[in-house]
Order: sequence, then C-alpha cells, then structure tokens
Amino acid sequence: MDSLFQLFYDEANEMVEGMEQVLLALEGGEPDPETVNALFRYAHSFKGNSAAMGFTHLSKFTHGLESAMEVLRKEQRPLTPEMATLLLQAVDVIRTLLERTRTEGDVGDPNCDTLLAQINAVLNGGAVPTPATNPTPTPQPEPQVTVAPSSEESVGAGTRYRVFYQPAPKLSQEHDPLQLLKELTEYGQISECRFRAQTPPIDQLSVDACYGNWEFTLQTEFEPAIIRAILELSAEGAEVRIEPLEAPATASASPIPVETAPTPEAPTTSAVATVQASSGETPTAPTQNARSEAQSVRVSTEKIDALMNLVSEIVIAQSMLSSVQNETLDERTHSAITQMERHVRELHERVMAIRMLPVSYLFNRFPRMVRDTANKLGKRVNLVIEGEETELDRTLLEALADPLTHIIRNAIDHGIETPEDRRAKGKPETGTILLSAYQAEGRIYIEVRDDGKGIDTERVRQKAIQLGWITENDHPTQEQLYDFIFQPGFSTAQQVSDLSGRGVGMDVVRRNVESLGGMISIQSEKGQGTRLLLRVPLTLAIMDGLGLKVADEHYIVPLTTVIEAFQAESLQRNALFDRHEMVNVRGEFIPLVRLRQFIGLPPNDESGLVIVLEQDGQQIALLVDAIVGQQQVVLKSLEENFVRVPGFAGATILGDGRVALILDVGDIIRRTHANNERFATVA
Amino acid sequence: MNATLKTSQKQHKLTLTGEIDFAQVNTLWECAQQIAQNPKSTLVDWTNLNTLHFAGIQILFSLQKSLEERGLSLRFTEPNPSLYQTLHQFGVWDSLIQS
Repeated sequence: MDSLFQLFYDEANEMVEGMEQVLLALEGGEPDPETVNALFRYAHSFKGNSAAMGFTHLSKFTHGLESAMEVLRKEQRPLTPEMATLLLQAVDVIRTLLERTRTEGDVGDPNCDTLLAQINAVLNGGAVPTPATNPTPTPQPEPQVTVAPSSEESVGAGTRYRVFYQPAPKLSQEHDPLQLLKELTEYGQISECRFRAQTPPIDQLSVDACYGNWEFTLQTEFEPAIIRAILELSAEGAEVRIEPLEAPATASASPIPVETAPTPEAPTTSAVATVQASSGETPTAPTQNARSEAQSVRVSTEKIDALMNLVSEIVIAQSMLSSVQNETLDERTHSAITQMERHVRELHERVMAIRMLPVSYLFNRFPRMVRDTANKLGKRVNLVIEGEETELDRTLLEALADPLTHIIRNAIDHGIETPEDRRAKGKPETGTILLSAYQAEGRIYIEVRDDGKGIDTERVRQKAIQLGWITENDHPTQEQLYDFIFQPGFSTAQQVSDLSGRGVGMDVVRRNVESLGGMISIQSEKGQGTRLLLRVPLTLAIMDGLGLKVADEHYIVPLTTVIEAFQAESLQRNALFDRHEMVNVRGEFIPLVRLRQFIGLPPNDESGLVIVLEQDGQQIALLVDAIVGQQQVVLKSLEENFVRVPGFAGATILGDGRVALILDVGDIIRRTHANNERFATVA
Repeated sequence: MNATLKTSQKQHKLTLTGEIDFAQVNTLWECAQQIAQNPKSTLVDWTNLNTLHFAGIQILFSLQKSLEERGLSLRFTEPNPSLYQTLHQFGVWDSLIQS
C-alpha cells in the first residue's frame, strides 16, 4: 500500500477511536467544554484528512456530523445516552466507510443521510433538515478568530498564506461559502479578508448561483492541501489559490498568480502528519504542536519488524562470537567482543523499546464494547481502567485483544448481575469491572476483576459430571474445577446467546494466552466476584535464557523463572505417591522433574544439577546434567514451523548454529502440580 | 415567516428574523423582486436575524445594486452581533456598507 495511504489510515483510525472515546467520556456526564472541543478536533482533522485524500463521502458525512453536533459545543448541552448511541453509530458508519475505502474507494452509504437526520432530530430538538447534512447552526463569536490581527501577533504560529477563494458556482443547502470560511477558522486565523461582490441586478440574479470571491491571509499549521480540501468540501468547481507569505502579511491584496497553487491530487505526507500531530492539542498552543511533531516520527510496523529481525540475527552472531571467547584470544579481541556484547544488548533494548506500546492501545477499545454489551443485556457496568500506561510488545498487544474481549464479555454476561439482582443482594445497581495492567518480575500482568456473582463451583462440578468428565464420587479441588472452565465444550450458561454460552471461548482464551508464553489463572468467590489474571512476557522476540544440557542436547529456560541451583547430591530426595519425587530445599519440599525423563530419555545416575524454577508462585526442581550458561536467545516459534509441543515454548539457534528447545516452565509446573494433586486426592 | 415586507408611501421595510437557510431564501428573493418592481428606498431590519445563507446575502447585494441604479438606497439596521461578526470577519459587511 502506498505509504501516504497507510499513514492516512493509521491516523484516521486513531481519530475515529478518539471520537469514540470522547463520546463515551461525555455520555451521561456534565458537559465539559474541553472534552467537547477534543471531539471537534478529532472530527475536524478526520474530515480534513479524508478530503485531502479525495474521500468525499467520508469528509461530507463527517462534515454533516460536525454540523449536527455544533449544538453540543455552543449550548453546552449534556450528551444523553440516546444522543451518545446515535453519535456512536455515526462513528461506526465512519469506521465502515473508512474500511471500505481500502477496497472499494470513495463510496457512500444510503443510510448516512438517514442517520444524520436522526442525529439532527435528537440533538437539535426535532428539526430535521432536508437534506440533513447542514443544519445551519446558530453562530456564536469564534474566540480563536481575530478579525484583523497585527502581524506581531501572528509571528511563529504556523505558516502564513495568501488565499484566493472563488466558491463553486452553484449554491445549495450544503454549499454556503460563509460556512466554509467559518470552518476554515478552525484550521487557522483568517485576517485581511476582502470580499468582492459581483452580483447582478435583481432581475438577472439566479438565487443558486454564486457571485463574488474572497481573498484573505490565513495563518495555519495545516498544509495547503488540507485548506484547499476544506474550501472545496461542499461543492465541486471551487477555485482555490494558495500562496505562502514569507514575510508577515501587509495590507496588499493584489491578486496572486495561479501557477503557485499546489495541486489537490498531490497532498504531501507532511500534510497528513501535521493534521494528526495537531489533532490532540488545543488550538491555543500551535507552537507546542509543532515542537511535539518534530520530536516524533511515524514508522511502519513492517520496518520495525525488519529491524527487529536484523537485531535478532545480530544477537545470534554475537552469541557465536561470545562462544569463541573461551578459546585463545588476544586481549584486544577479547575486549572488543565484550564491548560489542554490551552494545548489542543496548541495541536490542532500544529496538525493543520501539516495539513497545502502552496497553491503552488495547484497553481503549473496551469502554465501547462494555457499554454496548451491558446495554444489550440490560445491565449497568462501570469499566475502570488502571495502568493503561504500562508498555507491552506490539505483537503481544494485538494477540491479547481477542482473549481479553472474551473475558470481559463473559464478565458482563455471566458475572455482573442485573440491577434488580444486585439491589436484592445489597450491591450497587451498577457493577464494576476493573481492567488493570502492571509490570512485575519482568512480566506483564493483566487483571480483569468483576464484582459480580462469582463462580458457582458446585454448578461447575455438576456440569463436569454431566459432561462425563468426572463422576459423582469425584471431588476435584477448586483449582481443578476452575480448570474445567478452560476446557473445550464447557459452559454453565443456561441459554446460548450471541455473547457467550456456546462452550467456546475460555479454552480459546487459555490457548491463545499460552501460545504467547503466558498463563491465565482464576480466583473467584461466590457472590463477590471473579478475578482473571493474565501473565505474559514483555516481549516474544528475544529473552534472557539459561542454557541447560541433558545428554548432548541443549535446552533453554527463561532466566526470569530461575530461582537457584544445587548439586543434585546435596539435596535430600523423598519419593512420595509412587513415582512422584520431591526434593527438600531448606525444609521446603519441591516436586522434582527429571528433564531426561521428561524428554523420553532413560535416567542416568543421580549426578547433575537441580535448578529450582518458579512461575506463578509455584515451584519445581528440574534435574539436568549441566548448566551451560546465561545467554540471550531469539525465540522461534515451534507452532509456526512445526507443531505445538507440550512443555516447550519454542526453539532458538545457538551461537554454534545448533538448535535448542526452550522449556515452557509454566506448562511443566502446571502438569507436575496437577499430577501431584490428583495423586494427593486419590491418596 | 423569516422575511416580511412592509411598504409605506416613502419606503419599504424588509424585516428578516430567525435563521434563513437556503430553502428559505426564496421568500427573501420574492420580497426583493417585489421591491425591485416597485422601487423605493428600503430599510432592512435584521436585528433579530441570527443566520443568513450566503444566497440571501447575495440577494441583498443584488437588490442594493438594483436600487442604486435608480438612485435609491438600501439601508440596514444594526445586525445581530453574531451575524455581524460573520459578515465583518469575512469582508462582507464592509463590501455591503461601502458599495
């Protein structure tokens, strides 16, 4: 895709998301001028960018939406749920039209006018204009517009242009040049404005013909292509000429040459970038906008991924170099390798930082989903988001979207009670879902907690009996009961809805989270609520690992899971419950896993090393032949290249070119503890 | 009605109120044609006019031109502040008054 279009779509999606968030923030609350202004800034920027890209239907619909919403800004009206629903529908329409431009180009939707008419009817007190794209709002003084600013006032706040504007020849309800000029004041300061009337006498006047033209100075941070797009918004055939003024404008109003006008078909990349950079700022801080724009640059994810792959290869090459360090090297070479290792590590960290995005990127989609789902189910839910600044690898963020959507939908559908039920239980009518993220122990934790009815473990047990998974005589532990919830085909929902209850979902959630090298756990208290905790690595690409050796094969465990290591002979071992062994580490018994047996090799003698590994508060002692050493490894997916193998999270290429499997410590711990619990229960 | 015309022996008084969008401009045009057919100096009272589509403004310019050709004048009351601001900001006010 053309990079300009990609840039447009990236920014457009952010603006649409911004509009949605602002609407959700405004719904039902006191009118907040700053928030309303933010809504208009998003809409303005989106409209301008769309127009500049030639997507007329999008820009016109957004223009109509803006006009309809004007009453919110001018009359400081609160946004009722009814209004919010309609405006959110409009955002959905924009999103759909935007998506369709990718494949179908500039297409309209017959429902647009109907929706705008509905919005006008609700927002503007039943006055449904025909057509409904320009309700002619009551104008108020525009504080950001200076009628005749002095040149001193204008210095340093964007570029100054002399603009000649001959409106399109045909006037209509939608095409009012004065309205377009007012629109333009949202994009910059108009001054020294001259109007030339060329109207004929009344007997020769055609009411829908446009006579006259304007010439004015515009000081703006936006590119000429955007300005042109605004003035050409409502009708075809306008003549717009824009010439930059290097020096502060004088009173001269001489006509400007045609050949200096930029072509509308060739908007520059910086044009779109400028709109986006300015969209989140207040109009009173243009110089600040310019500064922040200069401090950031938008780069495609493909480029970052390519860079990341290259860094991965450098890490492997570095690993190869490090492996020859033990051989005889002169001091200078040794020093150079050590220095390079340090630089490669820093390079890796910096590239990783580029890939990191705040989880707000993911969390921001949920307020709308919670609102719509709760409304559909007749429930009241307050979504509280915490830790949205926590950063996570972009790939992980995208991969977590579906699991989190399932979990939050389940919380609303199965967890949060109806307002009547909550009242009867003495709870607030509005339920709360807390969605939080934080970083600890080199991992990211994402928690979804609700204050609903909790998990009825007896019902889970009965369902498991019904499914034939256990018998009436079995009494699984709470953890085992929770584990049923993650099994395919399990659902305690009485009715299947389009939201949940089909018995698919939580198994997919766990599989997805585990495929990311993460884990999911449940805590619940009947009547009080449920807490799901997702734990995922910071990144999937590179990790610090500890190299292990069994037979002649190398294995890797994530360094973050390693607690300590002992000589096997130094530890007291006890055989409990048949084959299940425990080791005594300073008085604490930890399940022993023999890596040889785990990978299907015959046991050797009792020598070797025991490494204590911990994940999610549970430990195992792993018996290996030897420890090779600490190293950075580049993760390669087994699933992508082979199949998923239980107990293994992936593979990596070692410095000497050999392949080493990476142990899935969480999976091994879970299997070991599950076996022990089963035997403990039987015993 | 957003545009009403009253005629005395000496002059016409054209009163414009509320919001005149494109669909309502026709009423104003009809009034302007009536004035042009029976030309007299005319006072436009737009004190209570909030918005006026540019097509309406053109009618006033056109009417002004027609009257001036006959040595008559088109005068205006003080406009609503917000309307004034729009007209003034975009140079229309000066053009209307100075012509």
